[in-house]
Amino acid sequence: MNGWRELIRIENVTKRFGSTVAADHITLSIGEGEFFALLGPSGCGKTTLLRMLAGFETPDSGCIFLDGKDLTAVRPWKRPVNMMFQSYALFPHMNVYDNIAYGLRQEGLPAAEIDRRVRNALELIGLPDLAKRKPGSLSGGQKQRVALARAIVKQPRVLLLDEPLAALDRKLRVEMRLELKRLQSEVGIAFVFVTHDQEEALTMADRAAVMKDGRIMQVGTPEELYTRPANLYVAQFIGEANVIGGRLECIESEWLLRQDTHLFRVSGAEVRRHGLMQGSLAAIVVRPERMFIASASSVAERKDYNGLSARVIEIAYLGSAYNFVVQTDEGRRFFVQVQGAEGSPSYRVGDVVMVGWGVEQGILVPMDEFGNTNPPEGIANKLR
Amino acid sequence: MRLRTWLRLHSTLVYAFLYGPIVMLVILSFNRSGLPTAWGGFSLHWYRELLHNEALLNAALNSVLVAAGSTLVSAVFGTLLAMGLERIARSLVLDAFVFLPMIIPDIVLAIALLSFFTLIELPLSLLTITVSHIVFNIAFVAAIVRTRLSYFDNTLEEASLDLGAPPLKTFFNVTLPLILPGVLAGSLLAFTISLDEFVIAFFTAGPSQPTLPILIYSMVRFGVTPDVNALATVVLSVSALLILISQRLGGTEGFF
Repeated sequence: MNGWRELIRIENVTKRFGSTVAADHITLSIGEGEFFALLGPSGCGKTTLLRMLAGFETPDSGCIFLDGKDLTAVRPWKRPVNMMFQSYALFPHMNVYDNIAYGLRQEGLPAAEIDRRVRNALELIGLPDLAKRKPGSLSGGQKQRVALARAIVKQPRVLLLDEPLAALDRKLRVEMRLELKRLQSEVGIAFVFVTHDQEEALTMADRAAVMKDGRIMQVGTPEELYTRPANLYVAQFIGEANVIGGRLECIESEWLLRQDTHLFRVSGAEVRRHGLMQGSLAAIVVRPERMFIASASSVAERKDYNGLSARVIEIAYLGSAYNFVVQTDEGRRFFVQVQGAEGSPSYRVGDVVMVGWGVEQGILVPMDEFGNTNPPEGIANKLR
Repeated sequence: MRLRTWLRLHSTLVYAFLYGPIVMLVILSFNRSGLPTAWGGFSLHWYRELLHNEALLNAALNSVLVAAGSTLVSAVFGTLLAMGLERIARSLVLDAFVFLPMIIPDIVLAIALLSFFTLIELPLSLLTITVSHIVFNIAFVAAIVRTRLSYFDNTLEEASLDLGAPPLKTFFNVTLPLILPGVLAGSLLAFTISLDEFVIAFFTAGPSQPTLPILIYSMVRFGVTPDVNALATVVLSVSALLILISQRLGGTEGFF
């Protein structure tokens, strides 16, 4: 993030479609040359925001600035912004060369210049021999590259990508993540991409905005989003999470969270991070890989971790790790991931074990906005 | 097996019923004797006669003029109408009103148009026939272009706008080339319908410039000369050819 310079500024932008609010007073800055992700479930408004950047939708209120100039009223064909569509939208009646040259021809560049730039673009995407082919005869991956080339050949200030990898099969998708990342650093253009896939956002983006119901829940680097989520929604959307909701208490200068009759130790630094107080509603979020599992008698009571006795109810082998689902006598369920476990696990379904986490591993999020304290149903289901 | 034999017989009869008279006409046009009752040997005599029948040729020319004129106008406005209906004003009521001229009985339309022209004191001529034919031809073009448009991926237009082509340029660069098969198919259909349309043309034609169907009708009343068979065969061939081409273009296969 060295030398970060603001390129796009979205200021207080609101957009409604009938009674649904697709963008609710969104304010956001995107830096020059940044790989930025708009992340959220379908219907969260991320595509609308992207389309407002492209100029296909106009904000009901608020402004969008590019390089400090107000872009809000500029029509799509006059914006120094290009888009790669989810369906690729290659012109079926033109061959690959003409598709890529299309944008340059609109600028009225000399033919030689167009030819040079199209050839460079074909080289860049590694398909120099496909110039004469029609889009109909290309594979999904090839179409994707051509669509990319067509958008970046105009050297826009920003490239917008709408679910760029969604139409590819899984293996190609993982490959293309690296490819896109490589291309982006090579051309140095700011990429803004929309995705519902948190893994995609975490692996590719320099920074991401997590969206929900037309609002931005948090903006940050993938690491910040994962290790320091601002709220329960982000904590649960990014990665897996064990969640314990309750009320904060401070007893003898030690912070605790009370759920029903049980008290859990909480990191004081986390309490201060959110500026929480005695009596605040909050939730402890623990990532499955930060949990430990041990035999019932092996761990003594210590001040720097939380431990509970629980019964193993499910085990799943993932190749590189084992996933356990355990349940306490009070019915609390935890999802524990043990990395690098070779051979058979030491525990079986039905065993009574000790599970827990170091106090510093427990992420704290405020809960005043979201009353939901139960871990999502999906956690147990994802094991199957 | 038995059922299949019966079905084959049945379909043969149906086709014979439909096409028997037409085939008869084509055969007669090559009959030297010119009589429907006696075969005088194969000859192109009536086709040669036709070339010298100035009234018939004139009427044919009138028909082509009307058909071409009404098709040209309908192609442009029918396409625009289809785009408007598909993109801007999606309404069942509007749809119904657009496609009504296709189903309204010709005689009703004919009387309505005649009264209208009388009202605005437009003298009856080839122009009035052309205008009348535009009325229903627009509907045919719009109907066919619309089917083509419903397959159209709108993000293609957005891609073109995004790449720097303003709306009008986008229309000519992207939209029109992709819906062109539909426009051509609609136009060919309109042309064929206009070419042999009788009722409306009969009501809206001026006294001195009959179209082909009108002239043939008047000839029938005073006895047909066999060169009409030859002419009918020519018209038939042209129509069949146009319909075939329009069917080819109307389909989506084989285009991309």
